[in-house]
Amino acid sequence: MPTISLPKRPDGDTLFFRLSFSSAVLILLVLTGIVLSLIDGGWMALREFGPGFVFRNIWDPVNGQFGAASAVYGTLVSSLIAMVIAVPLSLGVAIFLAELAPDWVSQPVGMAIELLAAVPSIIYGMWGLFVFAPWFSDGFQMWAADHLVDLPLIGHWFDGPPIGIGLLTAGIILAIMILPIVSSLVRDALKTVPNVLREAAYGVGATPFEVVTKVLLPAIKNAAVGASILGLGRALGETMAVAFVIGGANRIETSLFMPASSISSTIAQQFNEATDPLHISSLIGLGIVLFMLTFVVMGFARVLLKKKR
Amino acid sequence: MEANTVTALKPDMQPDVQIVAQIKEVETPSLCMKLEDLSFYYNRSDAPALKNITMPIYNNRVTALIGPSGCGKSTLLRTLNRIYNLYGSQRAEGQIFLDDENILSAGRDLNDLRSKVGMVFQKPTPFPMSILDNLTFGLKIRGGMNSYQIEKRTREALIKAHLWNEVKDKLHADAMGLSGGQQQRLCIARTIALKPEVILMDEPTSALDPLATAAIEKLITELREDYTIVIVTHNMQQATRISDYTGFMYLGDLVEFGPTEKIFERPENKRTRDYIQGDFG
Amino acid sequence: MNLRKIKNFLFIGFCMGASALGLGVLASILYSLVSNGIAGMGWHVFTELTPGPGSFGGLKNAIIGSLMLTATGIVIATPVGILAGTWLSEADKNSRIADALRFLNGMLMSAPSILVGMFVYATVVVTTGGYSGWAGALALAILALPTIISATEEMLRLVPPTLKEAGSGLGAPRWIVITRLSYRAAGPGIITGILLSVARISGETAPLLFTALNSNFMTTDMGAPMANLPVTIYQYAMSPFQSWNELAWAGALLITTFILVINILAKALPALIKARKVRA
Repeated sequence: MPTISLPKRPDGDTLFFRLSFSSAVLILLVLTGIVLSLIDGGWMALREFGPGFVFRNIWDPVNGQFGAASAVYGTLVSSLIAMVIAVPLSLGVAIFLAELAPDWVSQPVGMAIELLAAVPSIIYGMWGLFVFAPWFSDGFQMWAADHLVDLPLIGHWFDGPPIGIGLLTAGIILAIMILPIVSSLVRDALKTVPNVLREAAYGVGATPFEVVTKVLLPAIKNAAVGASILGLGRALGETMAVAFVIGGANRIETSLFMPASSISSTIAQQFNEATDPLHISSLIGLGIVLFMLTFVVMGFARVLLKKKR
Repeated sequence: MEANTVTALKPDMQPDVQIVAQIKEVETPSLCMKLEDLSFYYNRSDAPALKNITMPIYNNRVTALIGPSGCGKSTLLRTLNRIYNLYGSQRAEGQIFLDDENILSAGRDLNDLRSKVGMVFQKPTPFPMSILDNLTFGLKIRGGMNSYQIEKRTREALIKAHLWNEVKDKLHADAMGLSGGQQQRLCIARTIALKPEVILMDEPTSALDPLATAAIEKLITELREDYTIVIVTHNMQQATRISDYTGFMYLGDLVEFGPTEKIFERPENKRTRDYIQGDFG
Repeated sequence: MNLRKIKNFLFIGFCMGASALGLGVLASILYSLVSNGIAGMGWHVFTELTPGPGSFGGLKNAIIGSLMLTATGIVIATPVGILAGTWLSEADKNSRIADALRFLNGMLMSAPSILVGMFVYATVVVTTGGYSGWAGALALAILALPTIISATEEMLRLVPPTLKEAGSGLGAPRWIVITRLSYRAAGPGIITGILLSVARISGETAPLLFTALNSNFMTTDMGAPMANLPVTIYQYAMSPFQSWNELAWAGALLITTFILVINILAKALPALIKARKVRA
């Protein structure tokens, strides 16, 4: 039996709230600590290369020349690909779960999608490397080499070796990773839309397509945009899934089939092996860029999501 | 007009034993608490929710507070044990005396006050623990009792709350498993285990069925022997059945206060009359 | 009219297709995990140490190391997270400090985990002079913290104010009301939050790369580099050796099973506790 026996302490409340307030302030301390330690560690690189570090297109550990451009390019392009694929698919999944499917379908399917969100990123990386990449190489890249390369404007995207890994693969794996996050947030937002709105729209003879696109999606616009940006934030900072499949080349290439590098994959692959202090400092400098990117994007997403509520 | 509801106020009627006892009671109530010029604000800038209320609360009597929703009757109750102090923005002005001491004074030990002025809520609020732990919660926090004394006190409280027979074999069971009426009686037992001077009840039967309500009402009239009770109710019949004094509140004002029979039979204020008649009629 | 029907048909088809695709990916991931993982599975996985290049062995030290790192991380994060969440839930509604801390907690929750690894590297690994289990556990604790904080705050906000008033009404000080009543009432939800963070951090790889590092030795010394499953999986999967690849799949199966079980448990827990109470 749990018993309650406590010594009388007149200042128990004060003590307790001081303790809990200190714990809460720890959030601020940790974030400040992250910022300060990044600035401290990246200072050498920033002093050496100046603010232009972000735009320098060179990463040459042998000759001690570093710039963030290729890693930033890899991060932005892979995340952009992920968004282009994941956002429409997530909306489709969310609409299917919240609006179209009967309960006995949407319950288990929704649970399965949520399980997908729980799978650790390293598993996505392995799956991407061992299962998806070979299939992608045979099933899409070979075909693309024959059919897409000659397209105007976008043809050169597909002009590369069909090795299965590279920028496009990284983007697709990221898309799969953020799909469950975005779709469950959008589904929850759809569920908060009052039923009167649906009934009114169906009542005037609208099709499900019209109800969703003309009534429901405008009603949850903020939440949907917020959820997508949250997904973008996840994609920007994701390390392991990308490290497996992006190829690890610090170059800017127009072909999406070519190996590339993201900020986080560069850090993950080189940080432990770097011995040159400038190399280490440049990697931490990459961390600063990543921190600013995600901070801005995530802050924006949170403001949007909050507005809805 | 039923004879027995007004006898207490008409000392010239047939003197039988019961009536004499009632007259005695009416004549000699002593003051338990005294509210003087009490005002209450939910927020600094808001209009007062209670306006300059002055009112006595008599020892070993049941005082009922009635009035339409939002009139301030629950607010008034919540000033008497300063439970409003849980919320930073709420503030009371004026004076409330308990044992000749102003409980609104800044340095008052609130935990001590609340063990003297117990409270029972609208919905039963059993704690998520065993029946026994519910009963001993307040005693163990206050301290100063050994386990034998605590056991004795809890048994007495359960017997007094007419719950002993129902729970004596399952004192270690989860209190959430009791019925609504049993839970409310447990909350009353939990309060009287502390032997408070005053028990505040905020619509204690509004969440209960008629049978459970009857049990609680019977219990309240019995508790009157040992405790001073202030009860908020929106049920007029309940006020006439169990209370000795009634205060009618409207929009933060105490419109009329007096013996229950007088308030219900011969209200002086037109608003009181309208409200009572409206509810009865 | 016909165009409308066609549009609607395509729309429904797209939504169903997207959901089927999601399920298909999940199925493919699970299938590859199970088929490859079973192939590499066996008693040796649990009884032998991580092998050198090209040779055979198991994951014993990595499994034990991961359990220790995760457990230590959670043990560090739980009290701090619960206290911080309690403060946020008790803070005044208009408190700017609480609003700011809530926002920062959200930012910490979504900070890339590799940056947390770098932070712990700079503050712990550099100052103590080497990679260690403690550094890894601390990085995991920082990752678990925001989830525990927000779960605690959310759950405490759901505790009916009448319960707290009833506790205060008996003369209990606020901290006793919170620790004895609110925590009890919010307990299942808070435990769910803690379990979900266990699931999250036990699969984290990036923050361990430069903190706990990895090790081929069996050690329970938190002051030394510590073997752990995620980094082992990463190294073995990226290697050209088949024996390592097989172990990586076995480890991946183990870790995913663990995480999915914890997730399901976490989500079922509140209902389970409720059911038990009703029967009692």
